Amino acid sequence: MARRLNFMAREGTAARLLPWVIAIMVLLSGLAVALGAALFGSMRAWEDATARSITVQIVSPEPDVLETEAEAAEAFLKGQPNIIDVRPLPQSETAALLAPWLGGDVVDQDLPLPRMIDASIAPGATVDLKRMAEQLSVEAPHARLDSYADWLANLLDLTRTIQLVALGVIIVVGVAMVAITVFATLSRLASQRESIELVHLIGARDGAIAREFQWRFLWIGIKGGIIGILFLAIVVSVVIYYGQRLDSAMLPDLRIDWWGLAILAGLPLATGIMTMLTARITALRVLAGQV
Amino acid sequence: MLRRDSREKTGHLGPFIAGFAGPGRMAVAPPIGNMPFCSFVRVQGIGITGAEEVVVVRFENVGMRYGMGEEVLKDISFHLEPGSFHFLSGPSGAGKSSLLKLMYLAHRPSRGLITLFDEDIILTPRKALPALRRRIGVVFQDFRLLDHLSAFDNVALPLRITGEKEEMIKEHVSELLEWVGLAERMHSRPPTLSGGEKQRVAIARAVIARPELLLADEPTGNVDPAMGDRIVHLLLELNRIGTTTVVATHDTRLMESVPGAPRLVLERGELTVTRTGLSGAAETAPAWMTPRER
Repeated sequence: MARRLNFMAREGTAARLLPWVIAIMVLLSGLAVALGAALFGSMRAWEDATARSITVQIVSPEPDVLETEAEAAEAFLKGQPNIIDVRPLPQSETAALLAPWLGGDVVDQDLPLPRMIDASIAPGATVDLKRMAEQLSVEAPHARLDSYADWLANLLDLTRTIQLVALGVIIVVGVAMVAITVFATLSRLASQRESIELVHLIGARDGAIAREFQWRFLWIGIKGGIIGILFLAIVVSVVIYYGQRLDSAMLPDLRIDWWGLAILAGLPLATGIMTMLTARITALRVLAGQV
Repeated sequence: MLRRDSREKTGHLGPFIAGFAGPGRMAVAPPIGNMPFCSFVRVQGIGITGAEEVVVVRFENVGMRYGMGEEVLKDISFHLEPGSFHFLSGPSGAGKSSLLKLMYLAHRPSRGLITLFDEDIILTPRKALPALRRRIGVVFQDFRLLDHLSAFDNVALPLRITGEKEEMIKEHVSELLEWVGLAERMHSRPPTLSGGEKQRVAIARAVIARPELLLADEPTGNVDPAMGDRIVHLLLELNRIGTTTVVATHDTRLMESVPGAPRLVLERGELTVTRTGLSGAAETAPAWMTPRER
């Protein structure tokens, strides 16, 4: 590595604020990364949990019909290839599922509850659910087959949209960070104009001068990145703390995979590299216009 | 490291100072009396004065203007032989600093031809300018020292730019600072130095990389006469070991202290030359100069 010339004096107060501005940028982009990573992790968990599940629901005001068709539907499902774990839900479980929505008192009364039968598609198998639903309607006319596929598709569309928004935030923050670094570099070039002219006249090449800028801004970027990540850790800790105090039944289980954590951990270095390259390129372009 | 007392006893010079005398160029002699600077005598000049020597600086019909303003230099023509010593004088605003700027490549001419070490600076690509600049030492009128660096680091800057090893830098810079009488102040920063001390740091920085061309802008402008004499002595010593030297000054006493040195005289952007030693240039003196000065 070439030796630094150290020809520039220390920055003024305004320039010393730069790491803090970068820290805020890193916090914003870190929040976007964390949100995107959490949604991606949750999306995979939802897919794992629901993609192979099917539920048959029999709805009728007639108790006799419910009993008859529930038995017919269970027998039908057990007779289907690639369908496993067929399990009629006891009435108590069905009531428990509805209790948060209708209230325990209402469900405990003589409210006609639908009959539910859970089942799973065998791992690796594919089932024509539409055809199966048609065949089921012959055996049990009041039965309805839910595969969660449509519901899951809509949820995945939503999460992907949110992820795209997060990506957009990261890009905008990245562009803002580059712009701030360019302004800071130009400001430093202007404030150090006499020193730069001196080392030019002594025989320094543009690359050697730009190197002073690149190492300085690498450190500023890393410093800002570390501060930003610490802010992020505080914000995420607060969110997790208050999230745990809420009834989590209404909230999806957000989790960040190892690669999401790796991206967050790498943000300070990535920020440093970005500010370093930006400063170097900016300095070289300005210096090229000088005598 | 060179120590003055041992020098006086043995006449031996340290590696940096002795290094000025390259093979076939010159030899060095012990210092004179108690002058703080080493003294040299030229004994041979094959390397820089031989048949294939190049002209260090050549100006042909050079004009220069700032922006769209009037020309501050008009039809300047002269050339400097290797190892020559010249004064550059003229009233304030005559264009001395502008002429020096052209010579140390801080500015491009508006017209005309300038060659430095036989390279046409107009045709020289920008990438090649640092190599040319490293052959030139400049003592700026306002010193242009970096206040956040010590005297040592200011002087070391040209060597660090050329990527010299730190051990060599330490040895040579220490020796040179001792040579100019600043051994005790080498770790001081410029704001704590006197005008004369700053001047000597600036001179040390200009010569540490052993330039082939030394340009000094009012090098005695901020010092008392005694210090001025010492600086002139230093410049002459450098010239005697082969450094082509141009000293810009108003100081007639300074010019008189070097009898026979050709003078480049600028007035209203036009150059005339007094004394002999330059070819292709006028030998008339401007009206403002007294006959004694000629």
